[in-house]
Amino acid sequence: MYKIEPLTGSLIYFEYDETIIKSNYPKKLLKALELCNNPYLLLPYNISVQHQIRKNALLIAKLISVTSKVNFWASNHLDSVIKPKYTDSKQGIEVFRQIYSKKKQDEMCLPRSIFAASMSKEFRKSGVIFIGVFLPSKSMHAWIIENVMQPDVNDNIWINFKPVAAIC
Amino acid sequence: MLEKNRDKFLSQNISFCKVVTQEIYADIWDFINNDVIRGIIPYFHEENVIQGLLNRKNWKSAIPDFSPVYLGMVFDVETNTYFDPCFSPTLMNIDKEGFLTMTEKYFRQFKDKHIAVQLSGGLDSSIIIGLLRHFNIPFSMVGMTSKRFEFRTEHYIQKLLAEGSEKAILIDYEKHLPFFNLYDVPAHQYPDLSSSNYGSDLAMAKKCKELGVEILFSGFGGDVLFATGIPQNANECNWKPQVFVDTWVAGIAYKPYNVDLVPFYAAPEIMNAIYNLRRGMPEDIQKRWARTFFKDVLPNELVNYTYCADFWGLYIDGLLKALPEIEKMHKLAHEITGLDYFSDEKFKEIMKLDLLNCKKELYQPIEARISLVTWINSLYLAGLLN
Repeated sequence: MYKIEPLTGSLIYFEYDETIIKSNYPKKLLKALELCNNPYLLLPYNISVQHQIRKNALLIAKLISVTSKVNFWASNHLDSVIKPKYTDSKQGIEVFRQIYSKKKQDEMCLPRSIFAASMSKEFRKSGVIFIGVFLPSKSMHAWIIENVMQPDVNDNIWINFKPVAAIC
Repeated sequence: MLEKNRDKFLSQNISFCKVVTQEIYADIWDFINNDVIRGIIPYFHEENVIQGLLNRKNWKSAIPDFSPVYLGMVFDVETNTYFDPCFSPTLMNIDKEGFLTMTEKYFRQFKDKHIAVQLSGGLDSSIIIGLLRHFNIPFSMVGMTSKRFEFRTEHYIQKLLAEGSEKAILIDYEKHLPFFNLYDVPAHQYPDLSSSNYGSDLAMAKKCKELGVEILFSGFGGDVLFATGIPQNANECNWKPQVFVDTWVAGIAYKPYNVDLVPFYAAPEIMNAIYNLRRGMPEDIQKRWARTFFKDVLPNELVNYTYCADFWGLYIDGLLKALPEIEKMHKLAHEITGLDYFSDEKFKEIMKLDLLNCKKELYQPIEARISLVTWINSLYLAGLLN
């Protein structure tokens, strides 16, 4: 099995621990995992909307982007100090995609997901950030499942990545 | 002796231009021998692969004396070179009704043939299936299938479309991964990247033969018609033939089994219709226009979702599993050519690379190299080299 090293975010292979009981997982995680495995159960695709970007959103996005590069744990815990501003992760993702150029977005899946999750009011209720690996390559990707949706309409690659870690 | 056996060699649908005299040769079987192969320039082939299919007119031939002239290429008197002419659309008014009428007419030319569609589970081939069903035209389906995680939506669609059809055959991709059984690749006159997928195409060709299929429609070219931006000005249309037709696969894998591989989207009337329907539209990577336009003939899943699996996983696994065979092929290529490019040292250098890093820049030279050794081995096994 694989797991994410909490401090660095590195993907580590480990022997499967039989004591991990799936039923102990949060319900929203199990639901989101089922949706990842059966993508046609998700709500159909939507369209992307433009937003006015506020200064604090810009600052938070930059802070998360920088932090996620140096410390996975810290970036992952920023959401506990950020007050959600948007209704859902879809808005957060759209704002983040407006802040950074299309070229940069490919490598910013984790900060984008953390930003959207931190800024979403819905995320705490039904959202999960997944980190997946495109086996057998070493390529990794992060995306959100929230409220029966994969909220990033411009993410064409998440479907290839098998979830190996989740942030609820 | 070679003359007598010429019929046994397959055509990959290319001719050749002799560099010095500019003479055109339908084939170069008579010229292929150890001396010619010793003189090849492997790095040219590698550079060509890196430049990409769209820049084919700038390719340098790996065989110094002959340049391949691919099907559809045209001679340019000014530059003295061959190039791929872009498709030239004719402006017209067309709507969905018009498209359907035109497509039905297109299919009519195959009415006495046993037709089939490559069932990939993706959008492009599903549109062809949907249209055939719309017109009540009988057909079979043949496709490669994978139970890998990333192919879960394609697999779902394949099962959905195959449901209730007696003539739907799905072949396990794991048994025919890219780079598998490269020794089986028949002799061909010029190296081609498509040789790495010969195994899966051969498997489909054999199934087609079993079913009695004469025409197999592929969705090749759909990406260009549905995903690229369409210029308002017809003169700016840059659709080149090589992105609509894979002549190597058609000639080497399917033709020997009497199967005509027909890329539906390469038909001029289909190209013209889609050009006019999408004229002036921007790039549409998720093919949302096509999903909406063809919604009446598609499963809802393909209309409402834009999932598309990446084939890298299959490629990586296929390559890793085929490495021992590829190493042997390298050794033989080195023995025959004496070129340092095929030496053990060079092969070991490649093995030191991180092959699990799915970066195009890493894989392109490797794919080029493998197609070169496959080519040389195929010529050796056909008795053309010793």
